Order: sequence, then structure tokens, then C-alpha cells
Amino acid sequence: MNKFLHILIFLFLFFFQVLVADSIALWGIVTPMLYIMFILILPFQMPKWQVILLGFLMGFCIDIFTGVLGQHAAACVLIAFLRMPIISLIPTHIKFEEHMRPILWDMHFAWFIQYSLYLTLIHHVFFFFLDTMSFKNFFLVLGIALLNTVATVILIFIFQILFYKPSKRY
Amino acid sequence: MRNLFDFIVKNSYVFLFILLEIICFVFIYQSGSYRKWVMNSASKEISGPILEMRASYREYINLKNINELLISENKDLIHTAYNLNLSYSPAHIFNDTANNPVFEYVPANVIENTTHKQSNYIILDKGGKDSIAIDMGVITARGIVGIVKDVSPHFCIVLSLLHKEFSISAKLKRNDVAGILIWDGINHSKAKLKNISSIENLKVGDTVVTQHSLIFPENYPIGTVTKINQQVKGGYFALDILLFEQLSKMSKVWIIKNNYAHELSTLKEKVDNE
Repeated sequence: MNKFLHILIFLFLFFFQVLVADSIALWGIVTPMLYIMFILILPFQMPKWQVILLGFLMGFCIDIFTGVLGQHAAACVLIAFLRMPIISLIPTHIKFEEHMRPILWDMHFAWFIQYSLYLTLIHHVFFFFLDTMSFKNFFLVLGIALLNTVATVILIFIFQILFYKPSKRY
Repeated sequence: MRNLFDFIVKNSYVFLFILLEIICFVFIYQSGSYRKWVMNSASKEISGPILEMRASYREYINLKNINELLISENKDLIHTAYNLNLSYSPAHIFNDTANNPVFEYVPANVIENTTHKQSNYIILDKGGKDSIAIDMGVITARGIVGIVKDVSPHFCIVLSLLHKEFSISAKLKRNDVAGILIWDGINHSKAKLKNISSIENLKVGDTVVTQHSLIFPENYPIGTVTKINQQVKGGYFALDILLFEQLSKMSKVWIIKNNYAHELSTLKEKVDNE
């Protein structure tokens, strides 16, 4: 049941990214990358290698549809790898319980905004510098990455509020 | 030995991470050299149909704008058609008597287009089956767009004007001052004309057009000069240019086929070999 749900979320986010989000080009530079929410909301208990592999799969599928093969995949693998260290870095009073997932309603607002902001920022900065392959326009590229981060985080919050509810205890 | 084995098993995910990153970088590196785009164009054959579907929805929403554009294009065409009857230019005679025009135009739809990156590409829905080949120019009614870099049977990938490696020769329409058109990666509605030898007689507001080449027809509009940079860089000046075409908003483009490209290039090869 749980696996089926993950596949469904994967397909939904993938098609949303390819068909809707990629068409958004605010001022020609802001294109939110909502698909990384898939990596953010994978359960805490999932083995690390599985998260990394799923991140690669998601990134590679997006790559087939946009731009150069490997760009999204490299950034996704990076945040899939850094997910657990980031979670342990964020200070919190929440007692982690068995049934909890890293979603907005299970965790606190402050926790989730830090969690999503850090990972999105790492992903976007890495992605845009990978795309540029130089530090010539350093601050410009950083600025574009920051603008895109804000857009992505806002979209992640909208989706969390619309489609999620607190997980039940088993 | 056992400790080492335990260590590897425990940290297997780190090795997986490094391995996958290496795979990604190999892919990125390969796409950098343009002749190795086989994998990339194969992936376009998979993604093409879905991107086409998306493009058709977007086209439907934009029908009003497209209509307005067509009307203004028609107006310009009628205008030039009347003008042609009055003044007979040599180029016009050459085009007509050969009965085989120098440039042929193939209409195409944009199915994927980015402007927010530094290496921007455009994917069009015409490919090898419509006899599209590498190094053909792509334009809209308002200005130039890019150059075809790779072709698969049904699609082609265009190196956008908004790409850090794009460069063509261009000139000012008023006094034929020539330079090289590049994109500096900062603003997606602006470009730069560099290698200008002197800035005497140059004005803000001058029109920049293409130079004669195998890829683009001569005097095709590109943009207007917005700023003349005074400082010299290696003995040359540079101009800032506002592009006529907004590359983030276009949906219909023309691919330019040069009927004499093959003839000319074989002639050049012959001279080079002698």
C-alpha cells in the first residue's frame, strides 16, 4: 500500500513538473522545481541507499524532458545524500515517533520550513552552478538560484497544505 | 579484514552516492561536446510526444497573441510586396531568375524552451524527416533565435541565442560597422555586440542586423543598440543590444534552409585542398 502511494506521488510530481511547472517562467528566470518534494517527503526509516537511488531516478526522468542529461540527477542525488545530515542538524523539541513522516502536519512549521529551505537551496545552487560550469557571473547565478528557491519552497508549502494531513498512529 | 568489510557494508550508501554522481557528470560532460549528442536526441524521441502535447495546449491558450502576430506579419509582407514592384534590386532578380531561392523557410513549433539557465536550448518539432540539418538558422518574424545543433528523425535541438557559446557575425544597418554577437548570460532580453573597432558615428537606437552568411539571410533584424560602452577591451569596443524577439514567449519559428550551402562548402573544400 505504502509503496503504491510512493509510486503515485512520483508520477504525479513528475507529470506536474513536466507539464505545468516547466511552463512557468516568471520574468523569464523563475521556474519552480516542485519535483524535489518527492525526495523531501520520503519516510525517515527508508534506507539511505534507497533514497539516493530514488533521487537519481527522479532526477534522470526530469532530465529526459528538460535540458542536458545528468544535471537534475546530480543535484537530486546530492540532496538525497544530504537529507539525513540536514535532519540531524535542525534543532527541534519534537519527539520522533514511529508513524511520523517528514511532512508539514507531522512536524512543526518552523522545522519544516528550515528542512525544505536548506535542501531546496542546496539543490538549486548546485543545479544552477552545474548549468553555468563557471564562477564568472557568481552573484547573478546565486541570485537566480535564490529566487527559484523561494518559488519552489512556496509551491512545496502550497502542496503540503492542499494534499496532506497528519499521519495516523498505527 | 572483517572490519574493513563491515565498514564497506555500513557505508555502502556513500559509495552509491559517489558512483551516481560520477555517472551524472559523465553524462553532463558528454553533452558538452556537441557531436556526442546521440543519447540526448534518443531521449528526445521518448519525451517528444509528451512535450508536443504540452505545446499544443499552450498554443491553444496563446491563440489570440499568435493571431495578432500573424496579422502584423501579413501587414509587413504586403508592404514589402508592394515595395518590390517599385524598386527592382539586384538581389531580387537573382532570387527570381534562379527559380530556386537562396533561402527556404520551414515553419516549426517550439515544444521546449528555457531562458533561465546559462546554456539554453530550444527543441522544435521538425527533424531529419523534414530535411532539417545541423547548422541551419532559426528565426521568427521579429528576429533571430538560434542555430540547429542536433537532429533526430522528428525533432531538432537548437542552440539558443541565449547560450554562453552562441556567436554570429552581425553589423549595424546604418553604416555597416561589423562585430560579433554574443550573449553575456545576464539578461534574457539583451545581447552584446563585441569586437567593434571604432565607435565614431555610432548612436543609441541603431538597428543591428545579420551579416551575409550561409546560416542567416543578410540584413535580418536582431535588435537595437541601447548602450555604447566607452572602455576599450583589447582594442575593441562593445555595444549593448535590446533584442527584438522575446525568446521566452515565442511559440512559432522558421527554420532556414540554404539551398546553396552544400555547393558553396564543396567549392571551399576544393580550394582548400589545392
